[in-house]
Amino acid sequence: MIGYAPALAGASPAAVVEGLLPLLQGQPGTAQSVAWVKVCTQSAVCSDACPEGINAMLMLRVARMGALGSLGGEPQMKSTEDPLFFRRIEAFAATQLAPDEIEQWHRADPKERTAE
Amino acid sequence: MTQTLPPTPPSALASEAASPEKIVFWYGCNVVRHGDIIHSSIEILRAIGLEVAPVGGPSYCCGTTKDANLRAADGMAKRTVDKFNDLSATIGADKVVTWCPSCYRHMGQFMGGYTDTRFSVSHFTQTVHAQRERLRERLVHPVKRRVVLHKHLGFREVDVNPLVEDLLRLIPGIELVESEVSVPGHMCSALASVPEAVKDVNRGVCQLASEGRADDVVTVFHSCQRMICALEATEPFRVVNYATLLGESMGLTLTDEYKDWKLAGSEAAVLERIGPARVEQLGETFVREQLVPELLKSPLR
Repeated sequence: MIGYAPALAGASPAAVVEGLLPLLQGQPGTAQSVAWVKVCTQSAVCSDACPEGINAMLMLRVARMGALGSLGGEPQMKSTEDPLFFRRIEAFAATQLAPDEIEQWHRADPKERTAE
Repeated sequence: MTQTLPPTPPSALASEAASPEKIVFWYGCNVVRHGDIIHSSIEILRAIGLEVAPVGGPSYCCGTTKDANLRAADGMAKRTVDKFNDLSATIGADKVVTWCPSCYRHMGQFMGGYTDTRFSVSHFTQTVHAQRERLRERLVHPVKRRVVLHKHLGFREVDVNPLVEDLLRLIPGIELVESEVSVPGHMCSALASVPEAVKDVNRGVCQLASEGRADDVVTVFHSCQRMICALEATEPFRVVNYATLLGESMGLTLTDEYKDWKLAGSEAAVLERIGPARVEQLGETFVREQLVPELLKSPLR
């Protein structure tokens, strides 16, 4: 996915990784490391490639949290979170599931459920 | 994340042997756009002899969408794990079968790491594949289609592609086009923030179908179905999820209404296809402002 990030053209892999490490601790990362985070699609190809056996996919996921400002500090990328996400989910569910299915499968107290 | 349970008394073992295994089917959130996938999946699980307690929607959210708000993610994760623990105790279902690869991943990477989980987790493909000979008995309706699987390479936790291909081969009449093409991400929604990659994937889907002379492009996950189903508007192939195809072979006649709406072509046609009763139930303004824009969006090319 790196090819989709113009900012990473010709970048030093070691420098990009080094610039990412502060994000894991809630500190600002470099522009190139944030560009890496933005194009990460969690395919884990990087984990396979890592000679140190690091779960780079998980590292990028945590770095994403850092870049979003979740670990403290200022956000370095905009959240794509949709404030109406759950409202839309409920709406589509109402079109696709019967009312009793929604009641049982989404809302019922688990302590009162049965298998079907 | 599977924890050791206390030994089961011999008397309980005897009674369990005679009764079907109970599982929680955790289908997730975004899949609710495709009732055909949910209902087919439930029938498939029943067909392999399981008693199913389906759960999903916002109140069972894993929290994976909340990377920008970890407090909310944490609350959702703990609440959902608590519910699974309660279900385990209430109905005796100590296995959670997930549909969504994001939920599966989030459970493995985060939720299971800091909560007390009293259940095991497996993916739908693993559960069904393990009992595929039982499923085969129920696949009695031929589906005469030449199909190619739309594969992603990013769901490393479960090697779903060969499992789904095996399941497709069980369907009488299906001709599966072999393909080595896998695209990044664990499903199409993982690519959404990289539009150029989405375009490449969509062009690749069309090329794959064309080269394979496929009648159907078969999706593994719901977000792929959501994001590429409208290719049908301009392409000669159908886009269908494998669970729906398995259901069709079992005799189910379920429609992907979401796809039908995506193919409607105009706001008026979308509203007509959703139908006045459902539009009124949801609120016409909400439907027009919040659902229709998504439904009128064409796949990036």
